Amino acid sequence: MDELMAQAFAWFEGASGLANFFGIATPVAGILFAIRKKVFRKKTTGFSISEIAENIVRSQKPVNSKLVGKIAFVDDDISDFPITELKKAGYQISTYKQVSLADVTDLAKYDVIFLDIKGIVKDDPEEGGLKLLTSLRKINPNQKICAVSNKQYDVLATKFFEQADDVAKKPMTAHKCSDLIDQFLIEKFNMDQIVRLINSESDSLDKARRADFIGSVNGLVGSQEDPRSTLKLDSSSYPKLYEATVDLVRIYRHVA
Amino acid sequence: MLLKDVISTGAISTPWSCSIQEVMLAGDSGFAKTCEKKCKVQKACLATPGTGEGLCPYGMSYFAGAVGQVRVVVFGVKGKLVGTKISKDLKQDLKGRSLDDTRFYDWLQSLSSLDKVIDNHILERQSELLDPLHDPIRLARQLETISIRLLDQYSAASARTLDAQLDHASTEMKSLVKAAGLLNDYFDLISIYFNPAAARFGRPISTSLHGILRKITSILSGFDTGDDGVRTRVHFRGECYRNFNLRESFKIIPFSLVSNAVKYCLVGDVTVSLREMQDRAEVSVVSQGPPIEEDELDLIFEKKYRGKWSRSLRTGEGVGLYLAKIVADAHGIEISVSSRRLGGQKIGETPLATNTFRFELPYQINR
Repeated sequence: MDELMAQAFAWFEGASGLANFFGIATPVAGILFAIRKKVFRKKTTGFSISEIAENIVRSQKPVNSKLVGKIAFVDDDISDFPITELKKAGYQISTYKQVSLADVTDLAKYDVIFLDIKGIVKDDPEEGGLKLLTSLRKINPNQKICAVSNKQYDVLATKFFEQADDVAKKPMTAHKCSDLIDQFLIEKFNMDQIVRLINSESDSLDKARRADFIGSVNGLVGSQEDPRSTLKLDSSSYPKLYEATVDLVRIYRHVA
Repeated sequence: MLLKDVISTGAISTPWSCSIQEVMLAGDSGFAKTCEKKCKVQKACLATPGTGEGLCPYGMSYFAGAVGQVRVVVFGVKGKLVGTKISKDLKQDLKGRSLDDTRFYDWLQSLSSLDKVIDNHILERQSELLDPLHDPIRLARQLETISIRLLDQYSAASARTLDAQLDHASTEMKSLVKAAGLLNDYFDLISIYFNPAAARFGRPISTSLHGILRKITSILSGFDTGDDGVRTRVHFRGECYRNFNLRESFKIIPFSLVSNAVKYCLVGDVTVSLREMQDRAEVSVVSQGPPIEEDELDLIFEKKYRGKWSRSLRTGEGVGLYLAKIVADAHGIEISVSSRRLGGQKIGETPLATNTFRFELPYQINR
């Protein structure tokens, strides 16, 4: 061993300064390059999405969909829906007799929406329902939409019914309505599905955006800030990811 | 499609001789002499499949394409395939009849636009005409909900199912519930008749097949009297307490099959059977009535078609089985029919046969 060391020193002593520099710097730089991901990785502090979900699942408090879920009814004849019974049963209900196409961003915030096709949009009484539904789908693809109309015989309304998650005829009974809402909320607040969606969608984010996104999610689970205004993610480019994350934060806060 | 009818009026001229859905149109320059002489009876160019330019056996070009499902062929014209080495007569005949791909496809595009305008106009008119249906459908639903609520109120606590409640209800109550149920089912039939896509609306939900069949047989049993004043009863046999993932439109299938059997039942009752098998359930509707001829077994599911023997027996529109087929297709279900003559038995002039309509539902349907 001593002999080897002596030979190495002799080799360095015999070589020029520049040769010594490259002789030492090159292997060190090579090793650092090989392990750069481990050494220089930007540390994201806090929980990963799966850890947040795990915390929710482990929580002693079960998710009460009725308290978390927000339901909207948009129909010019609200009496066709059992609003009083549904409110009495504990659902968070809002009703709209008429809306404007400009209200779509607010309507997209609901978890479940019951939508008529005709007479509900003041800017376009004939086809407003279809236009509204198409916009809602684009802004919030995770929203559950029930097309409620008796115009199933109308070929011109086909697109409206086909784009919806489900269809129903009016007037609706309390039993049918609550069955539909319960089913929609179970699907929308399914933790496995939310986590799967967030993980797969966030794969398309670049490293910096992903770090910002995860960082803002961690900030949100620890605070009471509005997730829609605080989440660091472009909702128009990643609507599914954005909405799933908002749901995750809402559920986390609900069980916390 | 009304395109051919619109063009046939002559109000819209066609630049060249053409065939639109087998309707011959001379066009602005009239038929070429060669076409009239050589192909007066049958035009070779019309029998040839394919699209784009082709050359007929007599040296003239033809251009084929489609507007929607309709084949359009322009014939007796001079395209690039005609070439320059042609007879003097043919050259003379093709004078002023030059055509190329670009002009042909531009023209075809304008026909497509016209076709769309016509179709949209029809759909808009249809939508307007059907608009008055909106409120009656709503009222019919209200009526059914209230009738079932009333039946529930007046029934004994021991009668839990709809058919058990109906069994003990007064004649008026029975009629009210059945009429309200039938009214809604007929409105569903109308919706699918005018908009077949409605058969696919909504998501499949867990449904009791046994429950649907029980309700339909209860409603249709003894409700309607035939021309002879006899009320046909419907018996339900068998059990299956599994749930199937079905769309709301599914009920149209048993409803159409059972009401069809009731309508044409000439002897005895109608029997609806439900049988559980290894991986599916089988439903059959059996009745004795006019025979369905071998060559009619598929045709009876076509719109407006009515069987030879049925036609002379009852009035009808030939839509019930057509609608059953639309809904069956939307669910991926196949309805089979068999008709077996009962020896030489006849009712009046009508021979008697046992008619069986059958379909199967896999347990895994729509899962």
